[in-house]
Parts: sequence; structure tokens; C-alpha cells
Amino acid sequence: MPSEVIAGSLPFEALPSTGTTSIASSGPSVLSAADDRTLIERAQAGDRSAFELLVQRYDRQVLRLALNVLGTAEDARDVYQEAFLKIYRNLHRFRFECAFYTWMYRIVTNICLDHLRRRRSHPEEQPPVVRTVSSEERSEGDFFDRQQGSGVHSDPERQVLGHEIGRRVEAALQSLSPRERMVFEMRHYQGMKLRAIGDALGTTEETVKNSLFRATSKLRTQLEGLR
Amino acid sequence: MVEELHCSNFEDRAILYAAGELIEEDCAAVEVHAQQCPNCAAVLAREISLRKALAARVQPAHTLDNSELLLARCRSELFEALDDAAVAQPKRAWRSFLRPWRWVGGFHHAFVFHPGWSAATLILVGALAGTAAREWYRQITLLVPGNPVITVSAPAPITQPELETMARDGIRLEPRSGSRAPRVELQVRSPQPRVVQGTPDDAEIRRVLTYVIGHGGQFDDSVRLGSLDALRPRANDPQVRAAMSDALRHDPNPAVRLRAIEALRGVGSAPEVQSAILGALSDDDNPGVRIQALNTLIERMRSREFSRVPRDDRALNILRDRMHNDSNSYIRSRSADALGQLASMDEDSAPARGRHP
Repeated sequence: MPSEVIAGSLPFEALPSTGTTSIASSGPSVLSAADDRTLIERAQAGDRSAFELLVQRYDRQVLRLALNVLGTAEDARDVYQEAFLKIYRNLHRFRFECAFYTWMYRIVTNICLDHLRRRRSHPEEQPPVVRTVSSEERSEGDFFDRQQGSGVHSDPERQVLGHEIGRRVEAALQSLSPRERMVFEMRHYQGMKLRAIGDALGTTEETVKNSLFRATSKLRTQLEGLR
Repeated sequence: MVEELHCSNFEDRAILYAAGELIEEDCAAVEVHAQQCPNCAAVLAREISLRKALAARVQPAHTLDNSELLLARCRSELFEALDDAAVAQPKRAWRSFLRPWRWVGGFHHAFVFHPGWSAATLILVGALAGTAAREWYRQITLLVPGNPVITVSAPAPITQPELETMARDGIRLEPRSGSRAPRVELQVRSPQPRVVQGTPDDAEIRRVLTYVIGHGGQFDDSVRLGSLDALRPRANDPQVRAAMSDALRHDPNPAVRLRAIEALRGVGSAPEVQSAILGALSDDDNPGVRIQALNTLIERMRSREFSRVPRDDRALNILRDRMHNDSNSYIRSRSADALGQLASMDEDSAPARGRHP
């Protein structure tokens, strides 16, 4: 089965390359076409416009990750601001020993994990998860069986059902540990490979795989309970 | 990777199959096994259904920022914060030239293909180093004729007049690797020339460093910044804390004031620290310092320790004032957010505290 990225997210492998092409001119249009390495080197030398281009190249993915994981615009804004300020302050330490996006994701995921852990210790900060009982919930049959052929765009009733399913999945995702949540989000909704996730979290592919197994098992249990 | 597939290890493989993490041969093996074993076929179908259910989830990113207004706002706030950071750190650009790898890279490119230049440069550098070393040796041996320098390993008490002339005489902070405290060397020339060495763990050294950060006008910026860094692990010491708070209020250099806030971040609920942070948020003319003060204040108010102490009305008043009057839009918006959060925390904690009519 080919790797599939859930609708709306950019395949991680499709991010701009980190080759070593150099440019002679410093004009903004040329700069915007420059590769990561050139932009990083210029940003390290104090070129603000190069850093801003780097931000614009990656911040969509960062904000999406933060919104999906934390579920509130306010927390996602905090993560965005904190992450890019940290990247800006520490960019001079980046030595091209790994891809820039790996280094950046390491910072972003650590900040997201801190937020998730803080929420766990302060349950009052949990984002609200609306749990309503729908006609679908009351009907007979296995929850997963009802997913066969269901799409959110087929008709109004199915759209409502789609939202219901989304809400239940959201509630189930809340039951995961912060690390499992990050792994699951990065794999399923950001389309990252397990090895890239391991690099971003500073751990091995095997550990990430185990987190994915645990997360899937928990989600299955949570969603099976909706029979 | 083609491994023997059994019913016992099928579930993990099915999860990876549904996640698209298997190579083509492994996918084929999973499909073949599922065709032969009805139980495993059910497991595979269940994993694929789970995957479909997860795909049906409307991602919060789509709901919360479909039009990318939030992204635009985040970018604008970030770039504004970067502007403020640039104001607070004017020395950053020239500091980059001090980084050793830049020099190493430059020398590498200049000399690796020019052995003649290389040899001439080596001779020149050797001659200069020899001359400089001779001069340096002459200075340290003839610092004060007839009065040899006394080096003591344990710091002796330093008097107030000595403290006051310390800026002229010399303070050297020598950072050390890892978490070890930096080594501090103090040169005292009057009335008796001597060198005092130690770390911030020594009370006398700590007293001198505390004096340095409390007297911004007398010492170089780099000495004050180094002293703040050296004292940071000791920030819970009441005297150190008071001097840091003083530096935050009065130091003329915004970079030093920023460093003072950072050093005070982990300190508990001491009133003078809270007062200095509020003062910086309210009165500091540098937006970078105010942003750092605001972030630190919010962090402190959210912390567990602060949830146990009575709400600080002055902090609330200053946040309200900043929300309306600050010239920096990030501070205005962040202050508004902070007030909103505090209000919701109040609402949440009201039933727990038990309101009585």
C-alpha cells in the first residue's frame, strides 16, 4: 500500500531541498528561489530577509502541527512565536549536521511536548472537546463498519456524521500520551516518515514505531468503545 | 526487509501497512497472508477502517485557520518581535566575526592553495607573538616596581575602597565548559597589589560580582553581562536576587536588563523580583525588555507557586495599562491574552475556593 497523506497536509518529503547551490546576487527575488543552505548561511551572517524567507518556507507546517496537536489558536500562536524566536536566537549554532527542517522540527516538537505535558499537569487548560450523542452513535453496528464508504462531502447527513466522527477521533486522540500524540500527528497528519519523526524527536525509528503501535492500540480501544 | 510473517506478528505489520510504512515486498507478504488467514484478514480490515476513520477527522488546522489569517497574524507578531530583539541586541552583528569557525574557514580558503603566503604569514604571526609575549611578561613582572604581586588561591576579604576601584584595576571572567561555575580573577592594585581568584561559590567573589551588577555605570557591559551569567545559578541568594532586580531597574544597557530578567526567571515569588519585573514591563523604554518582562510575568502567574499566593492587583493594573497604552502591538495583544487567561483561571478556581454570600 503506498504511503498516503491525509487530505490537506503537505507531504513532508515535498519540502524544499537542502542542496548547496549558491547564488551571486542578493536581490529578494533571487533570494526567494535560493535553497535552504544559502538562506541559512545568510541568516547566520545577520541577513534578516533571508531568515524571514526561511520562516515563510516552513511556518505553515509548523502552525498546522501546533494547531492540530494543541487544538487552540492561542496555544498554537504561542508555540509559533516561541519556536521561531528560539530558532532565530540559536541559528548560529546550526552546523548543517542534519537537515534544517529536522533541526527546526526538533525545536517545535519539544515546545509542543512541553505544552502538552503542562496541560496534563493542569487539566483545566485542556481544550474543550464537544461530545454529543448522534443518531449514528445510537444506531447498531460497529463504528469502523460505518466508516466504509463514508466521506464528509457525499451529502449533508454524511457531512454531519463526518463531523461527529471527527469529534470522537479528537476525543480519542486526547487520551494519548504527549509523545504518542506527537508521533501520531506527525505520521498521519503531517505525512512524515518514522525515521524523520525519530530524528525530530531525538530518538530511534524503533522507539517511534513502538509509540505508533501503542497509540494505534489506544485509539482502536477508544473508538471500539463507541459501538 | 522481508521477514517471516506469522499470525503472532501480523498486527504490528498491519499497523505499518495501513500507515504506509512498509516496502512493496512486505506489503505483498501482508496481503498474501491476509488472503490465507481469515483472522488476520479481519485484523487488516480493522486497521484500514481505523485509518479511514482518522482520515475523516476534520483537522483543527482547517477549522481554526482555513483562511490563513492566523498564519498572517503569527508572522506579523514574529517579525515585530524580531525587530524588537534587534533593537535589544545591537552588538550581535559584529559578534559573529568573533566566532572562531568563521576565521578558520577564512584562513582555510585563503591559504590552503598558497603555501608561500602561508609560510610568510606564519613567520609574521610568530614574530608578533614573540614581541607581544615579551611585552606581556615585562608588564606582569614589573607591574609595580619593588612590590611583587601576591597570588592567593583563597579569596581574602575585599574592602569597600577596593571594590570601588575594581573597575579600574580589572575583573576577568573565564567561562568553563559544562555546568561548572566560571573562574573569576580580580586584580587589586591598592593598597597592596594582589590577584584574587575563585568562583561564584566563594562568598567574597560573589560579593564582588553582586557589586558589579548593582553598579552599572562603573563597569564595562561585558563584565556586567558576564557577572550576571556567573551569578545565575545563585539567583536564589537574597543579596544576588536584590542586585539582579536592581540591575533590571537601573542598568543603562538594555542587553544587561534583558539578561537580568532571564536570570530572575527561575526565582520564586520574592516581592522585589515581582516588583522589578512589573517595573520593567511598565516603565522600560526598550520594547524587547518589556516583551521579556511580560512573558516572564505571564509564566510566573501561570506557575503553581503563584496560584497559591493572593492575586497581585498591581500586575493586573499594569497588564490593563499595557493592553491599552503600549506602543508595541505584540505587547498590547499579549497583555490582552494574559488578562483573558487570568480571568478564566479565576472563574475555574472560584468554586474550588468556595464563595460565600
